[in-house]
Amino acid sequence: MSNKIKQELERIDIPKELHERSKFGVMKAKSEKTKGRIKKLAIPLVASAFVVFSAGVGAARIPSFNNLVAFVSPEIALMLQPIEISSESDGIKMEVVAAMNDNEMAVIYVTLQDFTGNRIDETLDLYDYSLTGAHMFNSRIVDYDGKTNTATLRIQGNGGESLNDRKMNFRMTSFLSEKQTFEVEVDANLSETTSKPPQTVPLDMNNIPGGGGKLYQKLEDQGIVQVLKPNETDISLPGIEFMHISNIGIIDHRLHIQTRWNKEIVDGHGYFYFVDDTDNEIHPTSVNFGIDEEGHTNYGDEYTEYIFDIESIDFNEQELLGHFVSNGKFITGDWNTTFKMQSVQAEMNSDLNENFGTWNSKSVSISPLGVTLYGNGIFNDSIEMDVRAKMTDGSVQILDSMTSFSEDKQVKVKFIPSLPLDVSKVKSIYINDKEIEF
Amino acid sequence: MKKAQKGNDKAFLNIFQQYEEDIYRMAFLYVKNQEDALDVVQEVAYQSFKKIHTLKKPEYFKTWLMKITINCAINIIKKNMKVIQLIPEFEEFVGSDDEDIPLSLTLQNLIDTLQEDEKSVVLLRYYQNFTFKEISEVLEIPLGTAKSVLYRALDKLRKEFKEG
Repeated sequence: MSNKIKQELERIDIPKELHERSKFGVMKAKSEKTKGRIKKLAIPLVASAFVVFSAGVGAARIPSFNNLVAFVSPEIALMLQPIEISSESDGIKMEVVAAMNDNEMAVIYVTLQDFTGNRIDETLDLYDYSLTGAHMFNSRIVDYDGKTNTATLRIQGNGGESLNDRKMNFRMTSFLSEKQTFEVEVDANLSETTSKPPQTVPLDMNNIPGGGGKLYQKLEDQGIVQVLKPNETDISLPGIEFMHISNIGIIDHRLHIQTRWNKEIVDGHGYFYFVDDTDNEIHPTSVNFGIDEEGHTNYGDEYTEYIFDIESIDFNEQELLGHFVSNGKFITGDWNTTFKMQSVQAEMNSDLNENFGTWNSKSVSISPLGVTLYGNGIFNDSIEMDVRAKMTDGSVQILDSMTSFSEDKQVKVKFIPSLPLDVSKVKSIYINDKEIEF
Repeated sequence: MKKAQKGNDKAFLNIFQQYEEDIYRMAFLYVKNQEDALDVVQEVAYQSFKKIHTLKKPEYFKTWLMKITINCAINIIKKNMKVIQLIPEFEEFVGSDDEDIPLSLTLQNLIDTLQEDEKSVVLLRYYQNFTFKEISEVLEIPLGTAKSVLYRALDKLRKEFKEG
């Protein structure tokens, strides 16, 4: 008899969006579980002339910097001794503790210590800084010692051989701390919001501060591109007050998501990305610009337009997520030091024929600055790679950040440890569990 | 299930997916429209994932979901009504314990004729095949009450059939 009730209930049609709604409920709960608590190391990319991608790989806990210094060989430890007089500004001392370069890049280690307040924390990010001779940088914090209010940063620049034994100048005028990172599910009902063609405005790519991503060069070559008319929507993301989505639409087979940044936040930044069931991430191209009083685009950074190739995404199969960062403190000052680069050429090489999906490696080399893989194909920065160095004493050093110098189907990707590798003591390298003996 | 309880959203969704159509249909019976029924599903997903760690015995997952579903559906009705209709006290229903369901019963009868508490018992009994013991646990009512509510509901449906 219960069949009759079942039969009647089966007559209730199941709407298409049912599963999406379950998913959204779970995502909403998930975002609340983690809101404001996820803190990740972020590597800000300062205006670059090259398409260079950098990312932290994994979130390995880095032991105290001083412990690591004690742990490395005397030769490496020597590299990590203060190399020039420090510079102090407004109660904060900056010291360059090491500076070295290999064929691809230059790395300096800098400590910052706050004598008077609590302006330094484990989320510290450099904001305005320069390293003479190197043309593209990123920095990341490798250690924070709460007892002494000292942060140790690793700053990486492009330059390679041309920097050999050169006298360098590192200058810093501002940094951020009290960083909060948000990972959010974007509830924008993309199928519906993009069902009508949006209104657009022209943007001169030669009059913007920059952007990034795979399509950027193409857009720049186009000169004038169409972007969404600003402020047609006002979609805020859970827990995020420093920005909102100011329009969404599809222009020329590309999904555009425009965000407007709250002017009072100095360095709110982040990106949207799509992710599918297998955790594949699709990242956008981004373009920054401003809007004048008449609503015309101009040079500025109040707006960012994130652009996805529509062919690579599927609204039903993939979720739109956002990764956004804001900072509570913006500290200014003037810290300036001059020092000499130390060139570290002690490299070891080996053949390595491996397939990494979109590219094949040919060889691998090791220098104190990291492990570099060379190969052919298209490097895919969203595929995670696990690279470790096994040392002769049995210890393992994790190479937890990555920089790709790939171009024109030539792949060159470098995996970098927090502290220099003592190449003479490397027994083998593990790449995704494959061991390469040296 | 262990993964789901540890907060793995994908594992949780895989399990939840097996029940979402049931949840939707049950919700529909209470809220009577697609939009609200979808809201119920979303809310059940939200609440259940948020509280999954409190579920001590994974074998009760379904029972637990049904309980959340009924509560969410009733909450949405209350919200929509603004004026809350008082549910009459459970009177001991003295009648036959005949579980026969009129064959001409329609979905509309179920939706229109039954009160919320009656819908809950009917759905759990006939749609989810729960025992009276399980029903009394989910609805937090005595077993005898579960039975009498069910018989009252069936009686109403039969009357409806006669009148119709």
